Amino acid sequence: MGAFLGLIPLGCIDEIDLDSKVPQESKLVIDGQLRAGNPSTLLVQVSRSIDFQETPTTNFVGGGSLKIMDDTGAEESVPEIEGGIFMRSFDASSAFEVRAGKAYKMVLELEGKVYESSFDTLYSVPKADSLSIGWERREVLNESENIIEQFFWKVFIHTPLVPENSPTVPNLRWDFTGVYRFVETPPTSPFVEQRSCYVPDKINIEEISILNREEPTTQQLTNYLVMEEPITHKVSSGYLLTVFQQSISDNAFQYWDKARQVISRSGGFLETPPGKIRGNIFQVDDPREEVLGLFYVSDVDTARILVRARDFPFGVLGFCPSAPTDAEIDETCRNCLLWPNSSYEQPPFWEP
Amino acid sequence: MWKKPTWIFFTCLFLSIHLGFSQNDTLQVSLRIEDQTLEEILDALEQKYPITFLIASQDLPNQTFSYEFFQEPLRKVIAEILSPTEFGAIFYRAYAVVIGPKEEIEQDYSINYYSVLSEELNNKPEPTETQRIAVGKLELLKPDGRAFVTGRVQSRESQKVLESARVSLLESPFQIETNAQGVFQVNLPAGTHTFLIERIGYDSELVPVQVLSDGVLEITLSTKTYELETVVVEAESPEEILGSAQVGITRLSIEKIRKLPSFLGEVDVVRGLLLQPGISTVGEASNGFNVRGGTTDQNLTLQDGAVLFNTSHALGLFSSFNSDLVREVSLYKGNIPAEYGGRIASVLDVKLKTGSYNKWLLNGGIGPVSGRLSLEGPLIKDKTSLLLGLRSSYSDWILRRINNPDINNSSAFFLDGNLKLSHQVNESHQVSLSGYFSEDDFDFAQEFGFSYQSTAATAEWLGRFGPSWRSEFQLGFSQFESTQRDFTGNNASNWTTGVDYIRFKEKLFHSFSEVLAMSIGIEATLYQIAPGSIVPSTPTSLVTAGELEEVEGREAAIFSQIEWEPTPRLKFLGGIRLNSYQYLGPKAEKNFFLPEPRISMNFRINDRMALKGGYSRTSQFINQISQLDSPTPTNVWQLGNAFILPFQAHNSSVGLFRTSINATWESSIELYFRGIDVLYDYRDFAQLVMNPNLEEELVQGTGRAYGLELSIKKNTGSFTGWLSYTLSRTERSVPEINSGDWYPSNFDKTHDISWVSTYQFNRRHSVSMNFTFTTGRPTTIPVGSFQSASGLFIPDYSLRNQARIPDYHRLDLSYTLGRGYKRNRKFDTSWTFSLFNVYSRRNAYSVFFVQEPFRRSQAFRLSILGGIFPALTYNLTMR
Repeated sequence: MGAFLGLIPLGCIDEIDLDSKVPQESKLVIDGQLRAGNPSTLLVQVSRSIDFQETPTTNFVGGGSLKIMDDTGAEESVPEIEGGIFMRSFDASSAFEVRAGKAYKMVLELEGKVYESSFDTLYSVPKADSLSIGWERREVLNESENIIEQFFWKVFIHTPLVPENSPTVPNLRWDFTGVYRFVETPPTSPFVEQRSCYVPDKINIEEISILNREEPTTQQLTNYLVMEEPITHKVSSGYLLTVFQQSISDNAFQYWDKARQVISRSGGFLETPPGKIRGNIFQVDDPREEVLGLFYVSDVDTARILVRARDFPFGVLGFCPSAPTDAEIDETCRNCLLWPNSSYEQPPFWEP
Repeated sequence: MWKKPTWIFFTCLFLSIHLGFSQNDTLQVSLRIEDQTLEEILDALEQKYPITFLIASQDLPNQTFSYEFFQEPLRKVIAEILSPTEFGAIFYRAYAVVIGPKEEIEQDYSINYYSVLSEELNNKPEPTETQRIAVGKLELLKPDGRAFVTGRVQSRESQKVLESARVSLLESPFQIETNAQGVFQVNLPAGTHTFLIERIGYDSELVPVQVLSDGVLEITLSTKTYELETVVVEAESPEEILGSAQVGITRLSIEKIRKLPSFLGEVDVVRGLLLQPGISTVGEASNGFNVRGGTTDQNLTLQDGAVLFNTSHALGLFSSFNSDLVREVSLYKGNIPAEYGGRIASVLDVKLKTGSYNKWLLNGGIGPVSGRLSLEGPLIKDKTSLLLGLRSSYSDWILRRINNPDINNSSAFFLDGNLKLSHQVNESHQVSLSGYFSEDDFDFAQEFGFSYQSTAATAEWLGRFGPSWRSEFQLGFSQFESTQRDFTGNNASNWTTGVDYIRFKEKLFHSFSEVLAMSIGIEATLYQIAPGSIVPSTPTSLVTAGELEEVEGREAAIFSQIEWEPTPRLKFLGGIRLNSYQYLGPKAEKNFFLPEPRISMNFRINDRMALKGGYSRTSQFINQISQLDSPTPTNVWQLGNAFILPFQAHNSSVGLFRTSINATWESSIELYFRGIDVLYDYRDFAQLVMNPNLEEELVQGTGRAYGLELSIKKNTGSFTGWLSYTLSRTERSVPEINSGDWYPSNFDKTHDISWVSTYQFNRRHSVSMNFTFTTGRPTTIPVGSFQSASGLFIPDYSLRNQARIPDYHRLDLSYTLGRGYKRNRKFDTSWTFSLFNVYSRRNAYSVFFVQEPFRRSQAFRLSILGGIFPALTYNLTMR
């Protein structure tokens, strides 16, 4: 809706240097997630916030000790695998049980202070039926402020809202990862094989895709839009999209809903004002200390779909020329391993 | 050469005949000229001979001429000099020659015309501002020598208009009574006349008036005898400015607003108000206005007595008042009279014209985004009149041409209409019916849209009973409904809210004596609010259809106000309003009794200076719930109840007012303080749409607003304008926000400066400018960020409103080409060319931050009107 401002002729958005700054001290950030699965994994990061106008980085704070506890009183320590990063897996044989219906919290001792989260309940997640792909053509402004056509691919999910093993409808959150195939230009020599690389891709990382459990009135979600991206060369030779459907508690939903509002601001008329996002972590001895971050637990279901060029009724060009050529072309088109993060290893679940 | 005042120069544009033989025909002149302009030649003749040239144009040719004359008749010399030009001459008696365009010098002029011209030339060679105790201007005198005088009679003490005052001319049998607006009209020969004004309960007045042309005559009657006075043209009299005990009132003449530079050619009442001290807005295209630290919903807006819940079109780009129909705009920003209630900050009282009782008039105008048409005239001559107005936008063609796909796939439309029927029952009674509707509709890029409609109607009966009793009865209703539409996505829906309002009011006025008058009345209001209904608009929408229960409340008030003048220097205005408000559900009923004392006084220090002060208690039972920077018309209205208490405020102000003789200059300094006992702010991330428990999203606190307002105005002469400055703070304290510390409201602007100037070159040409500067409004900005375990960077925001967006300033210019010199009696036309935001400043409406992956975040400003907006508007009046 922020785009509504464009309705006003000559309305414009441009960068400025805002003189008005509010002095602020760096704050402690404790952020983590316990993901149920086999194995279940716990990841907690401890860091300090940075000035908003600094280049994004994470100032990890090491030296703490972390425990995970459930609502029955069971607890396990979590090792610090790197300064400020705590990680541990719990498999079926572990004494610490991670299962739906239980609530978990974390306790961190750092620099003589004790930080603790409130309990977060783990709900079962429904298993997604399938994913489907759609596309849309839109006119957008390019950087030169000329109107251009741009095509987007969209991902829809089809899923029940009630888990098989629980009557409780959870809030849902979707995260995404992707791998695309990068195909070299066919070599001019018939004796040289044309190679393909596979490139992991961070996708939709600036968006938060969530669903309030009170929103739908049916027990089935059909054609629910969870993500969209511009169509680029990445889908020309196949893009394996992995969707993590996660159950989250009401508390976690509210946190991510607020985070969604503050990270996608456009200054528009109808945009609600930003505010402070309060997580569920506090210092035991001084609850007034403002601690950023959230500790939450999720059950996770994974769905995948391989997006191909033939999913669209128009051609999608690859990055490299599709015919042999002796002309000067990008060197990655002769050697795809030069493409950042690429490898020859075909990921599992890739269905040719 | 240009020593003659402009008003004299331009009289000659209307001359069209020669007087025939006159003494200047006998004047023999000798002159040698080499390469001189026409102006220089005429100047040389003036220097050398006892002759005066009256130049009727700013556009004398710049070309040079060479002549040699020896003992030639003046008439011949002038004819030869002017022959290569487009100019002609009229010889007037022995001493004046009028130079003007040839085509303009073709009309017939009456004897009375020349009589008046002669009188002015002989008796007032150099008029000054202080001598302008006349109606109209000589340069506007029509060829037939007659003038149409529109007079208005007011009470000197109360400033109220006086209906049924008898107006007579001593020199003729003419006699008429003022209408409900205190207005009378008379067509009479230009010249000196003596008006006799009589009104029961008031001293009769004999008013000598020098009528020069069409114009306005303001007459005040007093309940005590005093010397003849009252004729003021183009300015409020010192009495009007200094005499009233009413504090903090702003009156705007629609003619002044019309001369201001406008946005896209739309003459805008609200934009005119924003140039007054103490009145501000959140930003461009913001709905409504803020008065002395009040929110937009804390202003009661009345149009002919009907309450309007929305005062703007296109979400605030244009005001919803049709300027062609507006007669008077009054804003009570300080001490609100006891007869008004229901809002804590101000009352904007917009009075529409009454249609003419004796002639038909058609008005219209075309601008780049809208057109307007109005018609007025007698349905039954001198008995029943009609006023009809219509205004509509056609802005889509502009949107189509903007190089932005979202915009050129959008549409915006607004429409408003007014209908007013007035009927003079007899000498003492008048009834009127007034209706209004407006509609806004726009869609953005097939993604979302808005529509909202207002409907209002008022029936009014004004009566006079005996010599000292008057009655005003009003019955009105208004309705406002808005719909917000999401066309696409999982939330595709139509969300509708609305408010209905039925109101009855009866006010009786009684004058006990020359120094004591009282009004008493009763007002009852029924509020009905539809908090919201929502329906999904696409088959795939996840939105569930639902409707919140209708909410009702009623308000009854008794009010009384006394005006008392114990001494000639001291005047009191005291009143009380006793409010009884009842919330009727759907949740628990709740009753409130809220008395509101109001008092103000005027101490007249001397003839040119007065000290005024006042205090009032105000309360408000209906609020617009919004967490946006500026509320939109689609925000829901909420009645006070057991959980959301009525707002209450203490308002006080004191000011020193000064005028010059005849009120040419006017200055004031006012201090004000408003303390708000009860107000509500929203929690962070409040959910206000379709929420049956709004009170859970709101938090209660207190507020305060205080400031200093300075104003200096020049009201008469070729150069008019004003400079106003406001130094103010508007703050809130809510325990749940910013740890309970005082924090600035969204519309707190420390400094607010407006400079408005109009220069009237002559009757036809004028230029205006206004310059505005305000401190940037408060905003909440991110102060830090952190990375979540999932890799997402999340901003950490400051406490509420701890930063400010950049300061706002803007310069606007306009040029008006007024009615032509050729006085066509059927048509008057004018053109206005305006430049809005002359230096294309990109004033920020809001500031927001964007953090892209692996890059430092950057502040962006959103400018609503970020460029220069030229506009050309054509106006037409047809008689």
